[in-house]
Amino acid sequence: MTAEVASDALAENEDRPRRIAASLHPADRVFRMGTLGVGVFVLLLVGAIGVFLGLQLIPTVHLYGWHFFTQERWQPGTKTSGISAAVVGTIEVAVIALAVAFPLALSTALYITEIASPRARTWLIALVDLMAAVPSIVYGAWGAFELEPHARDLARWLSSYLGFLPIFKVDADPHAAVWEKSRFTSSVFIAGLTVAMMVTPLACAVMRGAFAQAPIGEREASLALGATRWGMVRTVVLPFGRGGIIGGTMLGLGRALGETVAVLLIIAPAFNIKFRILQTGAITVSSLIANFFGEATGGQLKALLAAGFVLFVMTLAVNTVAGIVVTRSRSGSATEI
Amino acid sequence: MTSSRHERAHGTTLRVARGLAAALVLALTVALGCMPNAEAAAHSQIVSDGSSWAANAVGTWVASVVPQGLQVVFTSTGSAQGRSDFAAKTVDFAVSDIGYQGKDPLTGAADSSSRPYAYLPIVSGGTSFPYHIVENGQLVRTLRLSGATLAKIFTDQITNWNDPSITADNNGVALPSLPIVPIVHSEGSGSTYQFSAYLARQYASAWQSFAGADVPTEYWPTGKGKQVAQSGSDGVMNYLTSSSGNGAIAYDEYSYALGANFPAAKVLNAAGYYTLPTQYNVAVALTQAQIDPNTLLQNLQNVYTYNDPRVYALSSYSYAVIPTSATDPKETTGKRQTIADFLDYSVCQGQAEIGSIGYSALPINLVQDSFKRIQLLSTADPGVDVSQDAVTACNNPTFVAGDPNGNHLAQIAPQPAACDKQGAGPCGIGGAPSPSPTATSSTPSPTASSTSKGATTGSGTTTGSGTTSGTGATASGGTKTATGATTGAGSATGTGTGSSPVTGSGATQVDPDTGQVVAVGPSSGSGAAPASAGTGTDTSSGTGTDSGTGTSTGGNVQLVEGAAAVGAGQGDDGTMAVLAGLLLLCALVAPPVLARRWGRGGRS
Amino acid sequence: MSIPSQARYDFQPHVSPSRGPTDLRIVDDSPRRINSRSLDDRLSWYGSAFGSLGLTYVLYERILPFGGFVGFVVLYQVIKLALFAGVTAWSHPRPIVTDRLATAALGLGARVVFSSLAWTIGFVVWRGWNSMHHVSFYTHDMAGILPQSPVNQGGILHAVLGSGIELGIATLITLPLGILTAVYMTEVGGRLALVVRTVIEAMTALPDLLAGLFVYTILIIGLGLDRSGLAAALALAITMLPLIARSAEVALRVVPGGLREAGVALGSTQWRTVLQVVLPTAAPGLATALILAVARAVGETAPVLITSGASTFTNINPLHNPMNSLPLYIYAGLRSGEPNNIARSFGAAVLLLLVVVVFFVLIRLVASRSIKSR
Repeated sequence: MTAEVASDALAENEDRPRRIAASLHPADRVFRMGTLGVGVFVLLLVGAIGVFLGLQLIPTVHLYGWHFFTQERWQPGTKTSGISAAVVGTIEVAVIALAVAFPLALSTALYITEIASPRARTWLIALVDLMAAVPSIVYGAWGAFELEPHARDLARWLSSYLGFLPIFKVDADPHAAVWEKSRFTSSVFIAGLTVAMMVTPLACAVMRGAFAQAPIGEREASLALGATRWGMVRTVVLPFGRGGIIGGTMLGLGRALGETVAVLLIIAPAFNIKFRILQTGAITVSSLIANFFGEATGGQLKALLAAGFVLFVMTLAVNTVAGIVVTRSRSGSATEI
Repeated sequence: MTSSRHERAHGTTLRVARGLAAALVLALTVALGCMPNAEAAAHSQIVSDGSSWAANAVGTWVASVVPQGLQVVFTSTGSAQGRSDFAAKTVDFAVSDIGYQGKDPLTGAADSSSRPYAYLPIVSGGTSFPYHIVENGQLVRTLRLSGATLAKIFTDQITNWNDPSITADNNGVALPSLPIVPIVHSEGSGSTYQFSAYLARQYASAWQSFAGADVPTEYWPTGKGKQVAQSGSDGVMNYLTSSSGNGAIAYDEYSYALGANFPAAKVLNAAGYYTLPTQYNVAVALTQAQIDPNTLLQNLQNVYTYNDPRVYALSSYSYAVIPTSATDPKETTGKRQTIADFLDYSVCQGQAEIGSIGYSALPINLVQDSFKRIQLLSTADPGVDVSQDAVTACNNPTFVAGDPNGNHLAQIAPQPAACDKQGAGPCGIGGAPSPSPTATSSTPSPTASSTSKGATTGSGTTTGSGTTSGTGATASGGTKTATGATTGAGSATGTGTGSSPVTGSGATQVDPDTGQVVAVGPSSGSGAAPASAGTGTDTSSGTGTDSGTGTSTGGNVQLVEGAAAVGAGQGDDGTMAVLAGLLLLCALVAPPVLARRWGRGGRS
Repeated sequence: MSIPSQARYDFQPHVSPSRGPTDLRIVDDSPRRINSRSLDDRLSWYGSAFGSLGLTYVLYERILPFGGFVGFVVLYQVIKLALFAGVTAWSHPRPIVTDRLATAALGLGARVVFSSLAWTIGFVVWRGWNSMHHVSFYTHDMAGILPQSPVNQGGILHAVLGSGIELGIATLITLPLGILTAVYMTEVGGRLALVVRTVIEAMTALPDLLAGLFVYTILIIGLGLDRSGLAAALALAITMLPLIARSAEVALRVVPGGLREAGVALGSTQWRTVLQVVLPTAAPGLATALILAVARAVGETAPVLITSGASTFTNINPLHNPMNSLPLYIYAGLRSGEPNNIARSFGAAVLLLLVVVVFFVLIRLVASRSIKSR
């Protein structure tokens, strides 16, 4: 009412706005402090892991020199140990997995959102999620025991008919009557096929989420203009879901880079960089770590951790780019990745 | 929120209930966690790892001592990892084919231990060369190779099975043209060390040009030629036996070849005979091994060149590495007691069990030396009781009464057949007795879950299936060699003529090709027993094991008890199972139930 | 401008009374069905399916030098699509042809994916059946049992118990931490919360193998901890924590701000609002987050491979002695090469699949209840 009533009264001839201080209830202060503490603790915990891994680079480079990243062979005990064959192998497996998984995931996602009936859609979505939830050891067992003979035959076919391409060459004669099966097995190709099984549902789920958000108005507009269903998909859904496609693919790539057990069960370790994907012998960073951590002493363990850090950086970069691409795209705001 | 007070009370009740449930689960976990495992007093579970070469023997012993209340966890990881885990104090004892080297001679990998240790030999055997060659749809089983040829194969100088050197070794019998795929170990392996030591010693130039230096190594130089590297003996055998393995040859302990029912190449010895690493031939060969009196480690150079016709050149011992420090931070009295009791069993009664699965029993003098080493555990910790049986009670087939340095197995070792001589044979081709382990079987072996591997074992006493030793060479003092027979896999006395098991009265005659018992000999009358024992082919009741003979070793009796005890001991686990089931049920059901309650509580 | 597919038209030039000279006279203008399949569609499809079967047989068996069943199937699919395109092109304009071809191709891709899933699950169940139907498989462990023993001896009790205990400990650690962190990120916020969120999102990219290696290096080698169930549980917890934190954060963010403001407007403090309004509202989402993380962690082999050992004994003490778990048991059994051991491993794999499916169904139930009750 009158100016004198207000506690923080204005001085004469002064016109300051009244400060509204929100003072926290003490319980709230405790609450905020507590959760802040937990948040910081978790931050430190998970951050420490990343930092710890990164710190292992220092003693590793000190011990092995920068050749650690260019040397092919992992040779415990010598000064010339390196992980380049492992890194290249990891990328090869991931690329093969993506090459197989991308068309499959894309077509499945489109099928689910565009072609399947609404009733079938729920079941198919559940199936895809189930496929994503199957543990990797199960896929690894399937790959090693069931897929391997078939994939080996496929490799032989590829090598004999497409062998003019350098990546499909194998150092054995695929046309021989008794062909050397041992040269076509335990390769990055078979590992890549198995990893593709794990990557497909992951990519498919993200793509499906993006496609499902394509605005209905645009869809109907294109149909009203006389486009066929595929034409509508091609002009509305695919451009809209481009972020989801790329993001899903990169998420799958991240998963493929880190896959351990399936690769362990399938490949025969060989430490050389080769681009012949059908030929036996392969090594990836995660299978390198899993195979050799037990024998590793002191400096070698640090080197393995450094290799793990390299893997982590690759996966992190891929996942981050995926996240950015998805969130920045038209479909991205509510797509969970 | 309507009826907020009611909801608040409801919510509070829920929170209290939730808190109580969480506390209960936590308490249960902690209580269960702190409860000691069901085991005999004064024994603790021990963890070990190491040599895959010796793994089949150690695994047999680990299974055999369970009824005695000893819990041993053994993981086959390779000798190098065993020693390094021992040094890192992550295991209680290790099994290794070689001692600490300081560093690996070829790769320089560090190999030492600051944790005080002692070695004791626990098993001997031969590094064999299983191969997989399919000719006309059938597995070739008659291959013989000389050391020189083997060296050239594994150093990439010979690359096809129709090479003239191989044909010459086989007395002119040529194999089809098939590329050779040598399979090597990718991990630091004692098998690699034994083989490379043989090569470095006997075929130095070939080995030097391949590996770069004339030294043995645990880390085979991988990636050369068409060699395939696999991790562990299991990995090697998996690859060899798979359909991709046609043309492959590997090096590994003989028990792996026997277990997979795959043939191993006969190797030429210094006397001009091709032999297999049967328990007899290994015993004969190792009479020339020089054992360091302090460390008990072996020097095999005389073994390679010993010119007894029965010798298998690549025979060796494998060791246990035990902690001897009184202040070892990882060891407790219970653990030391378990180590002592387990190793006591292994070097004593356990020796009778391993002859038939592809190893060879230790000679008595080494057994006594091992006993002395085991007593070091008691020296370190007086709480450990290492009173041991007299060596005579061990039923060790190498035991010769009155002669502690003698080896009965070596004495009764049969001479090789004439067709195994260089320039004759090869055995198994053209009418010579074939060393096929799947000889005439009078009782069809039940297939159950068996696969093609080692399922059939000749004699009519087989029960169960899927067991290893197809070529169970028994006849070691009448041991039944119920190989891993907790499953009632039956007294596998794979014989060339389907005879019944033999007692150890020294009148045994052995098929020279395979070291298998041929002659009937004075049967202890237990021949037919196993087949008709109890439920015959039903092994679930554990009565299928052959234990009828009075001369069967203590090992056998133990196994039968083991089967029974395993059944009895599950009662405790039943309670555990119920409790764990409740825990799992809570974990599975609680979230959605509570979610529903919250959901209802939060909405009107 | 594309022409409606169902319209029939003729090209007689004529003069329409209302529109003047035109070249086209629409004689049929029924609404265009987008998703339905006309008789024409169906007949084309089935006709080309059967026709291509014969054509493939002729080509494959007689003319081309390929062999094998897989090649036959692949060639069949290719020829079926080509024939379908050809049949459609016979009487329909190009947009229709591409539409049908694309639809068929998408269907083919989806069929490949789902049939591989069926193949995987079918194979595992088929291989695991031998061991699964023995009751002793679930009530015994492998103590004293040799790997080559028949499958009616021994069992996976120790692996199941181990998995349960390890997961239980990991959940006990990560659930409160994850939810509280999510509460911090959504309720308290601020710049530090952004950093926390960024770091946690980054850590979801950590391969689980490295979590295990981290625990191995720090705790087992560094501090001398045993290789035990606790070490494995910690490795699992490291894997689960970022997942739970992020999913919980999403679940909390979805809670409408209006509810929070209503709580504050009614005079409640922030912590009470969170506890009694936000958390209960987000509860189904939180439960989903938890179950998702647990379902992912139950199948993780790599971290437990490094931090615990494959023991044959039942061990319920997480502090000492190796504790086996389902994925580790499966892995060790598969590598052993013993057929009976492999059969047991496949049985355990089927059990693992069942557990994952159960979790899955739970998630669906929780999610559907939350949708219903909204």
